[in-house]
Amino acid sequence: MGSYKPSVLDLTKADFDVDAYVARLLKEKSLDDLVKEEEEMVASVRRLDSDVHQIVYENYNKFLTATNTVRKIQDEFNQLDTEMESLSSSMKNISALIGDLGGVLGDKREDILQLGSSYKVVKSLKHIFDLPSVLQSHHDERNYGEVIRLYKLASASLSQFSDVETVKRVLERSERVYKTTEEQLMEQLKNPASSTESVTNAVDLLMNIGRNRDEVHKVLLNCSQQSLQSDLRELDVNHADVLDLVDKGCGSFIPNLTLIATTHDRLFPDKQDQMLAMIKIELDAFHSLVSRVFLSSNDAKDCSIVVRALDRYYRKISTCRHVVSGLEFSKPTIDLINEVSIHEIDLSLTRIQEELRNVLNESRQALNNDSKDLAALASKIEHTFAFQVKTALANLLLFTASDVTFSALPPELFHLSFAQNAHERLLVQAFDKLLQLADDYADAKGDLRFVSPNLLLVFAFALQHLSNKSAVYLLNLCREQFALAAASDKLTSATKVTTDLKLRAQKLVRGYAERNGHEIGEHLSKGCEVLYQPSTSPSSVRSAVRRAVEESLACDQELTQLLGGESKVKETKTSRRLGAGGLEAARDSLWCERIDFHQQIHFNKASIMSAIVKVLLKIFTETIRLQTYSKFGIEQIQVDCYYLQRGLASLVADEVVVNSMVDQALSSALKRCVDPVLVHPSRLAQLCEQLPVQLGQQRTSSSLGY
Amino acid sequence: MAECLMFGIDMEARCMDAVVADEETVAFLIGTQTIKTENQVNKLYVGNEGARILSRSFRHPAGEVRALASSPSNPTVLATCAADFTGVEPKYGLYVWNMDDDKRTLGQIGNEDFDQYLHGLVWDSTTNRTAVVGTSIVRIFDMTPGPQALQTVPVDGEVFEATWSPHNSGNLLGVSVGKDVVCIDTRSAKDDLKVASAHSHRTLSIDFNPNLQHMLASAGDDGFVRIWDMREPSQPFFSFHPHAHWIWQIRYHPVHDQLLLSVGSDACVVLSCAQTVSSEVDDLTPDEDEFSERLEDGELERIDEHEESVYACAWSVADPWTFASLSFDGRVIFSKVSRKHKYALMQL
Repeated sequence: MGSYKPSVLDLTKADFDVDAYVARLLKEKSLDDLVKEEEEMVASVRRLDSDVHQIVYENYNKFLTATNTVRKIQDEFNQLDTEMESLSSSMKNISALIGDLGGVLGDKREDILQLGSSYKVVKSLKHIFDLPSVLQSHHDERNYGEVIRLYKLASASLSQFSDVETVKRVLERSERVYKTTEEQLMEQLKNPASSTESVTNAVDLLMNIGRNRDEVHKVLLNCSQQSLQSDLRELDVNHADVLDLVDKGCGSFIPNLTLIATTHDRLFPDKQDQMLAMIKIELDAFHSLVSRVFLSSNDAKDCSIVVRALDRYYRKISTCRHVVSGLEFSKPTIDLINEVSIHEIDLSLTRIQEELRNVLNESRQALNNDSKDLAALASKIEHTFAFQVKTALANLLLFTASDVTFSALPPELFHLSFAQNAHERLLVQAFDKLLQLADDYADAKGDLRFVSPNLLLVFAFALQHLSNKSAVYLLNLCREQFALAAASDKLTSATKVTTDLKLRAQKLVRGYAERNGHEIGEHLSKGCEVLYQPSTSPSSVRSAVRRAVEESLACDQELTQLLGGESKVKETKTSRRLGAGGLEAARDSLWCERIDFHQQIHFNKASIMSAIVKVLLKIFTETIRLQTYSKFGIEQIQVDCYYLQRGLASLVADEVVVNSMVDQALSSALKRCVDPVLVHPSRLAQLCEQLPVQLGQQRTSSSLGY
Repeated sequence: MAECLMFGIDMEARCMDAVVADEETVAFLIGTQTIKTENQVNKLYVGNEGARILSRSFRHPAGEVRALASSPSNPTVLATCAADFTGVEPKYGLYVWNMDDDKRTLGQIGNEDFDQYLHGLVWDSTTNRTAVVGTSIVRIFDMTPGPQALQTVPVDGEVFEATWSPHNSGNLLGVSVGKDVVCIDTRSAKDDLKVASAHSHRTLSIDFNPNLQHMLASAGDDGFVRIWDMREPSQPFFSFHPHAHWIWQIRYHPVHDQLLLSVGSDACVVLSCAQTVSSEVDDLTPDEDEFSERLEDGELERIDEHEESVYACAWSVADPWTFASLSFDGRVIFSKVSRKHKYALMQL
C-alpha cells in the first residue's frame, strides 16, 4: 500500500503534510476508526519517546568512555617527550668521546692492519692441517659431496706445496678419506637398499670425479638386476597363495622395477635400450612365476581369489607400462588371462564331474539301504547337476565383472573367446560328462554292472527332466550371462544337447526295464524248473508264477510313486485263446506278430512296464522250450499262463502284447509235449482263484532232463 | 542288409554248424528239434551261382537234435547229441553219422549213451576230439574212429556251451557253467582259469579269440557281450550290449577278430565290431593311408529278418564274409558282411 501513497501522507517522510494527512483521515475513516487511530497514535508516540530516551543513554555512555581514552593518550605523550630529551643529551656525549679516541689511535693504525692479516694466515694454515679431520667428519656424516668439493679445492691448491713434509702428510691423509668416500659411493650404487636420491647423487658425484660413464652404468644395471632377482627369489619361496604372491609382487618387485627404470631414465636417458632389455628379462621371470602359480591352482572354489589376483596383476602391469616408457608387456598378460580363464573352466568341469560321481554314489548307497523315494533321488541328481553348473558359471562370471580391469579389454582379446569357452568348454562339456556317466551306467562298465536297476531308473529320469526343462534353461542362462548370441553357429545347439540327453535317458530306462525284467523272469524261470512232470492234474497256480505277478505289481507301484498317476489295476478281458480257444488256436500263435524288444520306451508307467513284462514273459517262454512236458505239465503251464495273462495285461500299454506272448509260451509248451490236452477254460478261472497250495505237495520225483 | 538269402525248414530247430571240412561251398548243417515227428539234419548250401539256398535233408533216426558238430576233416561226417522220447523212457546219446548223398537217412558210425540231456558238442580239429556238455558234466571223446570216452570232468552247475581254444593244441576247453566261464586244461582236468559272474544269471555262449591267446568273449542272458582277458578275469576287458534279451550264441570271425556275431531271443542277429580289443588294435594308429576308412567299435549290422528267437549262428568256412543264422521256427538266413565294412576291414 505504501508504494502508491503520496509521500506527503507518509509519516516517516520529510515532506509529510499534517493537514493533508488529517484531512484524509477525516475523509476516509469512520468515527470508530478515528478513535482507534487516535489510540494507536498515542501508543506510537509513547513508544517512540521511550526509544529516543534509550538511544540517548547508550550513546552518552560511549562518549564518556572515549573521553577517558583521549585523556590517557595525552599523559603518555608527555612522558615520551621527557625521555627523548635525555636521549639526545646522551648522543651528544658519545660523539664527543669518539672524537677523542680518533686522536689516540691515529699512529697505531698500520700495526693493527698487519695484525689482522697475520691472524688470517694462521687461521687458514690451521684449516689446512684440519683438512683430513674435516673431510673425515663430513664423510662420517655421509656428506660425500662436501668431501669431494673440499678435497678437490684443497688438492688443487696444496699440490704446489707437496714438497713440504707436513702438507704432503695432510694430502695423503685427505686422499685416504677421499678414496674411502669413492668406495662408499660405489657401495651406495650397489646397495639395493639405497634410495633413488642417494643413487642419483652417487652417480652424479662419481661422474663428477671422472669415473667412466659406461662403467658406472654397467654397475648400476647389474646391481638393479641383482636386486630384482633377489626380490623374485623371495617371492618364489615366500607366498601363501596366488593372491598373496601378486600382492607381494606388487608391493616389492614391481615398484622396485619402476623405480629402477625411472632412476635410470633420469641418469642415462641414452641407454634406455639396455635397461629395457634387462627389465624385460626380469619381468619375464616374474611373469612365468606368476603364471606357474596361477595355473597350479586346483580348486574351483578359489576362483574369486584367482580373479582378484589376476585383476591386480593386470592393473599393476598396465600401470607399469605407463610409468616405464617403452615397456610393452600387455600381450603376455592378456595371454595369461586367457590361459587362466581356461584353467579355471577346466577346474570347474572337473569339479562338476566329481560332484556328479558323488551324487550317483550317494544315490547308489541310498538304494542299497532300501531307500524308496526314487523321485527324490532323481531330482537330487538333476539338481546337483544344475546347481554345480550354475555355481561354475557364477564363478566364471567373476572374470567379466565390471569392477575387474581386464573386462574392459577389447572383446576380441578376451571376452569373445572366454564366453565361447564358458559355453562350449564348460557347459557343453559338463553335459558331455553327464552323458559319459550315463553311458558308463547303461553299458554296465566295470562294477557298475552290479548296481541296482533302480539307480538306472533314477538316473534316466534325472536326464529326462533335464532334457525337458533345465538343460535349455542352463544353456540360455549361460548365453545370457556371457552375452552370447543365441543363434551363433559356433555354439552347440540346445537341440543337440536335449537330443543327446533323451537318447541316454532312453538307454538307461531300457537298461532298467531289461534288468528288472530279467530279475523277475529269472525267479519265475528258477521256480518253474523244479516242476515240469507232475503226476496229477494241477490244483493251483505255481507260487513262482504268483510271485512274478506280485513282483511286477511292486515294480508298477514303484513307478507310480516316481511318475505319479494311478496304480489301480484296470479291468481286462482274458485272452480269447486261453479262455475259449482250443489246441488249434494256441498253435496259431506260432505265426503271431513278432515281438519288438527295441521299441522306444516312453517315460510313462505303462510303457516301461510293457518293456519289463516283455522281457520276463520271453524268459518264461525260453525256459519252457528247454523242457519236455507230460500231459499234466501242460495243464500246469496253461494255468500259469492264464494267471500271468490276467495279472500282467492290466499293467502294460498294449495288452495284445501280453496276450500274444502268453500264447507263445503256451504254444511252446505244447510243442514240448507228446500228447497235449488243454484244460477247460472254466476250470482255469476256478484254479486261479484258489489260494496257493504248498509246493511240496505237488513236487514229483520223476524228473527228466534238467 | 542287401545281400541275404532265406530258407525255411518247416520244423523247429536250434542247432547249426558250418561244414568245416568243405572249403569249396558255403554249407551249413541244421538239426531239427521236435518230439512230435521224425527229426532230420538239413544240409543247406548256396547254389545256382549264389542266388539261392539249396537243401538236402537226411532223416535223423535218434530223435531230436540237441547239439550238432561237423567233422573238421571229413565233409560228410557229423556228430549229434540227441534225445528220443518215442519210447517209454527217454533216450539220450552222442552219435556220429555219415551223410551219403544218395540216401535219405544218416548212416550211423558210432554212438555213446547218456543218462541226461546234452546241451553242447564241439569237435576239435587238431586232436580230433569232441567235448560234450550237460548239467554238471563235461565229457571228452576221441573221435577216431568212433566216440571213445577219454575223460569226464565234473563241473558244478548247468553247462550251456563248450569251445576248444585254438591256441593250446586242443588241450584247453572253455565252458560256460551257470553264470561263470571256466577254462579246463584237459591234461590236468583242473579249472584253473575262471571268470566268476560273467553275466547276471547265466552265461549262454563263449568263444575264443582266434588270434589272441588270452582273449575270450562271453554272452549271456543280460544281453551283454563281454570280452575277457583270462589273465585278468576280475573285470571285463570290454563289453557291449547288442541284444535286449538272452544272447544264445556269440561267434568270433575266424580271421578278423574284431568282428563278433551274436544272436538272441530278441529275434535279432547283430554283427559288432570290437576293434580296440582285437589283434588289429595296433592298426588303429593313423598311418600314411589316411583315406582308408576305419571301423568304429559298436554295432555294424543288425538283421531283423527273423521273427522268432535266434538260437544259432555260424561263419561259413568257404567264404569268410558269409554267415548263417537260425531261428526257432526253422528259418535260416545267409547274410554277407556289407561291402563297405568288408573293404574297411581289408583296408582297401
